[in-house]
Amino acid sequence: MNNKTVYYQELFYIADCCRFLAAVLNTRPTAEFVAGLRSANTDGFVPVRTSTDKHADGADLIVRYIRQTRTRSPDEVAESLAVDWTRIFRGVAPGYGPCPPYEAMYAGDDSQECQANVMSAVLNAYADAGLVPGNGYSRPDYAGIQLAFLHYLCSRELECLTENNPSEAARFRQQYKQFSAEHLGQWIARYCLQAERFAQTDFYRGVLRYLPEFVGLRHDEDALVSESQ
Amino acid sequence: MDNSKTDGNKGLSRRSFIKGSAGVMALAAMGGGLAYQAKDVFAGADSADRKNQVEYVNGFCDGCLYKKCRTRYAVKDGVLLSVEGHPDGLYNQGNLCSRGQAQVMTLYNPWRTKTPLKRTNPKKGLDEDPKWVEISWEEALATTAQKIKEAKDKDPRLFAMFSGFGAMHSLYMRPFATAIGTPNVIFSPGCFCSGHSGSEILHGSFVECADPKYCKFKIDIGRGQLGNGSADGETQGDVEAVQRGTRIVKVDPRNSSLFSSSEWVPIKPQTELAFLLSLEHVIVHELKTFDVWFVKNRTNATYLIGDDGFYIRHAQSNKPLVWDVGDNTAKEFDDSSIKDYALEGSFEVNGVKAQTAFQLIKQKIKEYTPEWQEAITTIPAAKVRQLAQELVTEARIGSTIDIDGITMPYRPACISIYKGLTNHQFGHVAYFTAMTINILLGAFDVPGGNLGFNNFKYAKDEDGHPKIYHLGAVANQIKFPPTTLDMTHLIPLAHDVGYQYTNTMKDPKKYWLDYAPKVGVFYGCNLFSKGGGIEEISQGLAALDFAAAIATVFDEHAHFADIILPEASHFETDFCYERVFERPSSQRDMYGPMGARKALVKPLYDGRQADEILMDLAARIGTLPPTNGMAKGMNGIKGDIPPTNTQIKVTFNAWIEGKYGPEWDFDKVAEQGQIAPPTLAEHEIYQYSYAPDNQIRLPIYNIYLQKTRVAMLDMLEKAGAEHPAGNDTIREIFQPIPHWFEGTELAKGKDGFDMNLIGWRTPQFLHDVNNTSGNPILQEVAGHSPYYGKLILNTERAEAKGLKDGDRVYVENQHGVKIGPVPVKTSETIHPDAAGVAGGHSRKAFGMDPVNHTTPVSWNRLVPIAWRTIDPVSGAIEISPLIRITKA
Repeated sequence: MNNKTVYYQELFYIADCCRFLAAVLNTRPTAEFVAGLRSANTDGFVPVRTSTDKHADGADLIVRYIRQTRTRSPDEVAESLAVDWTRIFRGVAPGYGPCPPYEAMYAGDDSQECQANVMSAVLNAYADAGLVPGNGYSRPDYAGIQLAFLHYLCSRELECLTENNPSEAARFRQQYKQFSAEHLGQWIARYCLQAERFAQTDFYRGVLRYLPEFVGLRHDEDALVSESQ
Repeated sequence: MDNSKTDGNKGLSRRSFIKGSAGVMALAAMGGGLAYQAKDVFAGADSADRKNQVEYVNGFCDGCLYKKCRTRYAVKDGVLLSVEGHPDGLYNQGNLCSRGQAQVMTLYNPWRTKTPLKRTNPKKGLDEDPKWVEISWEEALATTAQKIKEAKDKDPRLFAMFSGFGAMHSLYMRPFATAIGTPNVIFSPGCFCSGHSGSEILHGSFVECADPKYCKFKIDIGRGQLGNGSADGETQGDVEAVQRGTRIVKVDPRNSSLFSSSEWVPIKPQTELAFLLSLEHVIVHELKTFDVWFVKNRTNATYLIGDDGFYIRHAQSNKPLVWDVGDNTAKEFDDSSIKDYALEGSFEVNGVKAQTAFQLIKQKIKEYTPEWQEAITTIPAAKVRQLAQELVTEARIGSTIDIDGITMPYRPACISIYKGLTNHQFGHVAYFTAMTINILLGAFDVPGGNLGFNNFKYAKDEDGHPKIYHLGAVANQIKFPPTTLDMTHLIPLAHDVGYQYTNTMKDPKKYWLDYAPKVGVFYGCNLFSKGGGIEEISQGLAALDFAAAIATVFDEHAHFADIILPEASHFETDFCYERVFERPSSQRDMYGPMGARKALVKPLYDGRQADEILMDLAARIGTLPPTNGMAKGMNGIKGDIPPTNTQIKVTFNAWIEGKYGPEWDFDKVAEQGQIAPPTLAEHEIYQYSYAPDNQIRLPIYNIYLQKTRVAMLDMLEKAGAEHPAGNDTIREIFQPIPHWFEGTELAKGKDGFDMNLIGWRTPQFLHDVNNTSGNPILQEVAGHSPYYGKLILNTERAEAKGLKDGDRVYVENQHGVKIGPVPVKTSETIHPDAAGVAGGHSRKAFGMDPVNHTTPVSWNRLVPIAWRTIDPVSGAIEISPLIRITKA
């Protein structure tokens, strides 16, 4: 397998992962959600812990939860996940769960100026890519929206590579890197650390361990990219 | 290439990551199975229209109940940057208080309600985890409507609406509940609203204050207008008065830095009534100087009272009689042939012995000497005499002033009171005593004196008294058995006594109710932070089988809900409000201004405009047409509202057009943010101008209480029932003449209960609308005060107790509630017998704002709401509970 192919394949994985994580953060768990999780073939998965990195632990917890709850009804599992999801990601009330994953709450302070500045910055980044968050979904600095944006950028890079348009692909890659470094990568680890204290299911506990390292994954891939071209 | 190269920052290789992630990768590969695509989150890949410049949008502030300050908002590409006072604001003149400036955080508050939620844990309690899950609007509305409809079909009384200041802007809250057919709209701020009852009887008005323009000397009791920190006309009037050199003496258990330029007279908590009675005593018995003309011509002091305590009346006309000294005979009070009224004396009329009301009042207050009060209040007798002398001197009795060509009495001195005085077991008596003093000075509804608000002109009843304005007072018909949860049929001068439901819900039969609500809607209320008895309130809310909360944040009420219906931020929806009542101010409004503000930004979440939520529910329940009809009637909307209307903007337009004419609509008012009401001529501020000379008879002999006592006791006797507060208590308290009685919470030192707890609102949290207590900016501002969040003790008293700054103590009331340990802060600005709490927070619920949650002094928790600690006349809660402090 040549470098280009490897890069493409790994980028494909990363895009899928982005999509998965965005889906997890943006989707209220239902029986269908549970069914979706169960449809994945994780039978062959054996956790590999080659380092102290938490992502393997996270992956292990996620998969174990899916396996261990397989005999429970989808509705029952969905309710457990829904309670946990609402508590962890939606910002119900202080003390009930962590401060919700909004960049302005973690990357800055809770001043009005910071709220407005962060909100403007992420909206500008989306707008630069031609995107506008849908009404009523969540704040534009919500981690789920930022992950969805990264997935969008990743997908477009893959499309460009498929279409043999490396310059356009590089533009999306640069946007991904910049956004990840300036926004999600700046604060998501702090959020995940806080949120894990509130998680009551291994599924979300695993997601919270997995997420920060995933977000930091592409910070230093320039050399990799140049060698693949 | 080495594909196992490590990430520079993380020390983690891509290859390792992917290897360690295999399981997730498998899940990721089927991410489509989660039915998710980026397009679900983003509206589309359209190019965003960015102007990249700040736009200013006009509006009005909703940082407090008054909502009078005109504002403008800086918005840039859909992001609300800031709010500031509009430079042309009629009331605020470019200013905006801290509450107003912090309003951006109501939009960006991360803890807002975001989408409908359902409780999955059926157990309800302050320490129960509701286990919320998000649900669709359809499920939330269908479930709520079904529950309400089931209750309505069975017995409409099974439904109750819980509301408060947070829904004052709603045009549909009361109409919705009324259309269901329930008599129970439980209003949470009512616990502290007993101050209105007296105004309603004496001023024929909702509130009162000292004349901001002409008053030169005033004694403030239980009032902290300057302390509310508002930027609108009322506070500005006070500021200007101070700048003009008005002398303000504050008689209060605590001083405030805002009054440091005047004089503070420390008073032992719960003894203000004794001070006032003594002040009256000095004026009448020692100085013998008061406005005799005013008392004779504008009060019922000259009315003849029989041995039964009622007016002696004319046999034919049934009008109250007075004694004409000139003709030495009894005449109807409004007989134009009267030469001179007898103010004092005993007479015989048609064989019946009678005394003037003033004679009875004078006799009653004879015992209330300054020395007598000193032993109760700790205020030196000499100080009372000095203040009484100042009042009568500064009132300039006999002087007049010409305003707009109309000559009126000029009395630039008065007593100014508010809720710190009226929220006691003796609240109504204290109010009447204070106003009696103002009337003795002639300083009542005349320039310089104590004023009712200006858009209600005196209307007279058949006895010459001002007609009761509304909202309770004697408009509450006493009735047995009572039929509503708040027991207003047994609390005749109650304003809002929603807290009573905590008693009635627990044991309806004990209160002669043959039902108890099973379904409730919470909207804009918080009994926990507006009242006392947190445990009792919790039990009352938990007794509901089903509750839905229309909420912007998760407050304590939401914590007891089964369904959360998220209210969108007022910045995300069109918003319209009219100030419904008004104090005299330099703006001289005929009535309050109307504000309109268009949605400033796109909705961040999936909330809805609250009135549209209620309209949607009404449509599902089948009550939409009557709900719209009542919205029109109950809000005085003159324009048309279609019966099937579900759009709030339609109602706004009907409201505005009906009031200001067809040339105005919501959009037009919103362009400027606010439309000001017509301005009154200066003389029209003073109610004297509407009923000059002897055209009104202020009932300083409180005939309403006399009538009510007799009727109440007769009613209860016939039913063989005992009033929850005790028939003897009714007999003692419902008296037409103010008199001293000792509250059950007065500190006497028994068993170590030797202090009273007092609380006060701080400028950041006035009214607590729009979640000001959960606003991090306001919390930060409040936190700069060294007193915030601490138990404030007098320095010497603390030393005597072996306490110093930073020590921690337990605080316990005599009803078994104990809080702590709480930190102590010593101060010279508080009476030795008082322990103070600034802010008055009571937050306790699981999952509340951590700032509030951990605010260590929960004043409300120690405020009892037992029948034996309330004022059964006005329903006032005793806000200064007796406490015992022990070192932790």
